[in-house]
Amino acid sequence: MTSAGAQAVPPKLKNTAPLTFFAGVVIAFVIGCGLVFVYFFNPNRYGFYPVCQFHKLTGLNCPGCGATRGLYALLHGHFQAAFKDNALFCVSLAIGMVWGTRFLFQKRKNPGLYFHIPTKFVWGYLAVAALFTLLRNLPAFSFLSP
Amino acid sequence: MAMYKIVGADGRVYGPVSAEQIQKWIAEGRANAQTQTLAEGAAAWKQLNLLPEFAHYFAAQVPPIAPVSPSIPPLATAGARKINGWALAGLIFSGASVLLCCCPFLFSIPGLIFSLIGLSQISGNPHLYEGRGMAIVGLALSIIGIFLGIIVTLDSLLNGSFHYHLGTNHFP
Repeated sequence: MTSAGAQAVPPKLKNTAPLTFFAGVVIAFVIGCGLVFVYFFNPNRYGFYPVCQFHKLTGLNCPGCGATRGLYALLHGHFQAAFKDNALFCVSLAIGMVWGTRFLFQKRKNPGLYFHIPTKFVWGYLAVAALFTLLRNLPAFSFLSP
Repeated sequence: MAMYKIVGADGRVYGPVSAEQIQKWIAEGRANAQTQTLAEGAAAWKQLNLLPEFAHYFAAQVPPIAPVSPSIPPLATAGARKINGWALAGLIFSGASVLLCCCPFLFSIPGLIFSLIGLSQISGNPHLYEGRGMAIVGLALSIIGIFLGIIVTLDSLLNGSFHYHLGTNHFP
């Protein structure tokens, strides 16, 4: 290793930020288009939305069933209807928004920050999702199914 | 004031400079958590995020399990690597998108995003995270899930309410 002296400035590290930014723009664009589309086309009326294959085969509700209808309800401000369509989806969205916003604020202070997800949270989420799927298919908890 | 030397991306040694200068270099992308750093008077080079005075810059990614003792070389912490949460979440979502094959994009797109974030975090911090294989499998499954989603969407488009506009339904 040779020394470059005290006054020299090290070169920039290989920068993946533009790629990350590009990916972010593409993802935001796709999600934005999806939101606009769902806003104008009510999933309860139009049949061209992809049908849940699990529901089609088994007649049971999967953990994601009702999410599109829930999204439509959310976009139109019907929070109660959205919660009935898919409570897990609504809660996940809320958690994601709160965590994401908090992270962005932290990152403004510390640019080197990473968004860390504890694996315990992921396993916990999986357990809750499994319980939710079980419950929403039981007659006693039909208020959890769309 | 403590002074530091760092190894730049070109493999050359820069410094000695102050902690403020190092912080500026971090902000400018000239140094990161993996940058080898020598504190004035220290015996060995260390990764920047293993120095307590800079750890807070990268701190939120590491839950405070045990303080990394300055006397322990980085290799000694290899056993303490943790599975990356994004990679795990990506694998679960993309697995769901293929196994359940339901509401295909609802699971495959988050699966793709989570796996990519996981892969980039693991590549950036190999001494902190494990789960590269998990992230790669998640990536592959989410791409399969997206293709399945396109098939299911085409099926809905052609056999759903739009078939009036498409004329007779030729697509069984």
